[in-house]
Amino acid sequence: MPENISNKHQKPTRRTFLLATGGITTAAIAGCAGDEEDDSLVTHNRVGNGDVAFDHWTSAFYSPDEDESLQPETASAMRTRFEEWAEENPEYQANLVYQSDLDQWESQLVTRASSGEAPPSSTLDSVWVPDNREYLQPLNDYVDDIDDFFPFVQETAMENGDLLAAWFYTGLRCLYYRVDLVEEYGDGEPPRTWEDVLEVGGAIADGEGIDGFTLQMNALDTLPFFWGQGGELVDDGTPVLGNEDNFDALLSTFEFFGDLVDQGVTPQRVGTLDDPAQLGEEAANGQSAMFIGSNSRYQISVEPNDDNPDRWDVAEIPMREADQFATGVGGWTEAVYADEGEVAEAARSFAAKAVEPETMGRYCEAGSQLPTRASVFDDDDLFSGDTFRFQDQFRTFLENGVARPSAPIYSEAIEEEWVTAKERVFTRQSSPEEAVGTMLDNIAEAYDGDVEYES
Amino acid sequence: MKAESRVEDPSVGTRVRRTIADWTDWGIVDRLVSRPLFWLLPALVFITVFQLYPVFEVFRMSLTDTSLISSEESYVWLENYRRLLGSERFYSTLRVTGIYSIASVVLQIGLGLGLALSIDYGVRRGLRGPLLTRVVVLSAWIVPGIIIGLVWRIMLLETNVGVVNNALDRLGFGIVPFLSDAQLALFSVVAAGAWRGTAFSMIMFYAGLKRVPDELYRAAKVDGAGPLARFRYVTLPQLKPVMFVVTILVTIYSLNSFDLIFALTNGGPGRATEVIALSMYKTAFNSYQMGMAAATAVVLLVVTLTVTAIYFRVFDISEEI
Repeated sequence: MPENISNKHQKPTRRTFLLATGGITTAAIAGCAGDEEDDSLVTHNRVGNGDVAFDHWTSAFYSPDEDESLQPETASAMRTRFEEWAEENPEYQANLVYQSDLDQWESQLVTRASSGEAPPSSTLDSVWVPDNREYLQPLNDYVDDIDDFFPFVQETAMENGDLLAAWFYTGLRCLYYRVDLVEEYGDGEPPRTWEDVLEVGGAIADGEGIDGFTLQMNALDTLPFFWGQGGELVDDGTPVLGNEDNFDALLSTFEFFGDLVDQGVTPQRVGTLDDPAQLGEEAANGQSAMFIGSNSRYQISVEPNDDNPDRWDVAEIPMREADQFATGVGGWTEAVYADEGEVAEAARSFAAKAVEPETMGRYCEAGSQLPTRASVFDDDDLFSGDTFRFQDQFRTFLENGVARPSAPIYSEAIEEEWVTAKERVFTRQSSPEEAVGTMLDNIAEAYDGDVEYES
Repeated sequence: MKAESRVEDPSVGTRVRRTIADWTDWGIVDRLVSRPLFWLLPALVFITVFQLYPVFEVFRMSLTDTSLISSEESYVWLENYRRLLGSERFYSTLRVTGIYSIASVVLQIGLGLGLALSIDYGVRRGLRGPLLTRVVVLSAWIVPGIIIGLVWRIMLLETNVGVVNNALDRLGFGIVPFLSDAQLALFSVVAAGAWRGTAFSMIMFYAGLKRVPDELYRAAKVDGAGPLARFRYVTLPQLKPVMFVVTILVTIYSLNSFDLIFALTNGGPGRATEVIALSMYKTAFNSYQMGMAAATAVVLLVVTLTVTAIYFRVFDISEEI
């Protein structure tokens, strides 16, 4: 007997294998069911526990679970938002379906929506809104005081008075500059015009042996140069950036890029620079005196890497003329595809919750983001005045916010062609005239060749 | 009647057994098994479902205006091809692809053959370390192209942080615009591609060299052939089939290169390093024009097949294969 027992323990029999497999399977099922059996109002995968359930596609950046969230500092704000919604709507349940690949998420949404199989609701990057807008459902009945949103929200996420996406936070682009160097080589005032940039940037580059002004090869960072002159990329879905008024603004923008590199203010290598962190860290390490960056760039790259971060300040993006203003804005939204029934109502109330002033302020404060409602910015109880060092300036800059246009041709061609033309000018492959000409031809070609630029 | 049938076939059980025997022994199963089609069927199904159908679907899509952001699809027939062949971008990417592929084939075959000969020379003379050398070189081929692209990108950064530029700057050459100068960027991409692909060529050539009988070299020596003559009249002819395979494969890999260039330059600056495969990807997933991307894919397929056909003619290895 002892020998038999010993053998049984040494050799895995079919019975022990089945028992072990059964045990593992049971444990796995128990683990999987754990979240479902959790009767908490909000879990990583679920919000509420009502009978009317719907899927909501989102990112782990917006998880209410601090352990699971890719942005743990906002998990508490997200949990509060979800708990409030679940308590206000006990009959609803949102199942959070996390998407890990942004490109796939975006293309899946568009593909599914075009075949009528979109999820009931989803979190959307604001730049995805244009491509999805024909499938998005109005949120007007669920969102109060739509006029409170900054103008760029009304221009981008609204159509015929319908609010199509609940834009719950934003970001902007501005000029970061070294106060000490601008004082030493200029008049102390940040450059307001391109001429100022070339003058003070050139003097700093010559005097200090560093880059006078840098920027990255991203459309949103440089489109404000064009928008600020009143330039328009698209009108009613048609590319118009080559029309008479716009062409002047377009060409002058690219001539400014050419001047920057020709006069040694900006190095040729920015033609390959597409990492915003690199731009900020180079500046913090004393390699550049001015750069175009997002509102969070100071906190992310400059403050942690610069021994004397107080020497930095922000200003509006310099323009061709001193009385022109514009900044590029981004951010994320909640949007609804379900068009009728209880699920549609549930999804709309879920999306609308994101832009309630208290919810928005709480999230922006936790995530160091900017609110899209002016009232939230103005109420210190809703959004602490200490969230950003340059908060007051950002509030002013947002009044001139411009979002990327709501037209498929922007994402199909204009954005890529803009960046390519910019790279060609900065790397001296083309003159501004050649780069702009090629860009316009390629955009017209992508638009089935039906564009006739007015001259 | 009943009596007769019982005489011919005394029991139902016997009849069933006979039928089964017919099926299992020399019946239908045997006839099926004896046909080549039966054994080819799994492969044919697999190739049809996973290769032929996708190719057909790409060709069909190339005749449509399919877009990722529109539910409507209509046949535009050859319009995508007309637009593609009429666009400046296509000829730019074709030129870049041609330069990249020719340079890759020359460098990878030259360097691969050189390395293989060196290692073979060492092995024939009992030198130590050829295995380690092979492993080290092969590791470049094992690492994914995306990783290699990122590593080269970091190495070639145009500041003092970049490994190469830091060294050049210390030596007094200053910062070299490896990635922001259009010509140098293409050179950088070719160099990174050759660095990666040489390992594959080396392994193939080394395997080919191992198959060359020593007797041939000894006979050549007896005939008074020097090292160069032995290489010209013994090694190269013996390597002809391997050379053919390597040339074909390196060309196909180069024409379809995507991952390494995507990570290293993303086709920039200003499309100076944009190859056809990368252009196709951007058309499909940045511009959402699946129809146009499919047309580009079909053109790339035609280019690849044409080049392969030319190789078949030039190498004339019908006897070997």
